[in-house]
Amino acid sequence: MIFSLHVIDGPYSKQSNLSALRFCEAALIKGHRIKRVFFSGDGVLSGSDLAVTPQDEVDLYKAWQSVATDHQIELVVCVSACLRRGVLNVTEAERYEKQNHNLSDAFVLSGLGQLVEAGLESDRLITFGG
Amino acid sequence: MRSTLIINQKAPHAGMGTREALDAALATAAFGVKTGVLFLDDGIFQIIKNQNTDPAGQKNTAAIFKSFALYDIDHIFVRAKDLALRGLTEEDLSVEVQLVEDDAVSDLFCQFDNLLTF
Repeated sequence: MIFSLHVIDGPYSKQSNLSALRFCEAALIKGHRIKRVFFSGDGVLSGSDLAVTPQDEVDLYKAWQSVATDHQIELVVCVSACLRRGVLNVTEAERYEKQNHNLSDAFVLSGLGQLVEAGLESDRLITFGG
Repeated sequence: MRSTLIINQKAPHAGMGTREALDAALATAAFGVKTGVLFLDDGIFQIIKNQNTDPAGQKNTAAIFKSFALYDIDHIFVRAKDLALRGLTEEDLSVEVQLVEDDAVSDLFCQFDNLLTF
């Protein structure tokens, strides 16, 4: 089955962010395909490459990046949610004349159309959080 | 083409949920997808009349719901019980809605292929 995920809540502030990651891992183990994970709302904070997790805790940031690189899963962060929350890639940092950018290379910055498309092209679109 | 129901469950102006749900509804409709919007629980406060959001420093989102018709979003649902519980009637709402009885909500979910909850 082809799944897409919609992640609304930020890492650590709600359990649902980790639940989404675990779902992803479990679905892949069972042989399903994850077409896309779309992050909106506070979920986009998952894309920050500047967050540091205490050593004895699950590193959610690294875990999402690993899922993306190990399984070629598309992680898309909503651009308007990112701008509002200070998660920028190089292009947006230049556009808004910011000195730094912090979006992890494992993530792609795009619009809500990617969420709509994921819903149209997957067997199931599952929302985590809200 | 698969259809989408956007479900709004939370009161407006206390977070970003309303605006993000609105963006999702407009983006879905822009793709030519049949789009419905359901207000549940405190979500119905998103469409009550005469909202003044200035003191809260928030954008007045109620006006945007009125533009739904322009985007061909004409399936707007409210659970009747949620109005009654809050002492509200359809007269208090700024957009035209279809009232849904409590036991018909699950049928409504089945009428749409995708459900997006905010």
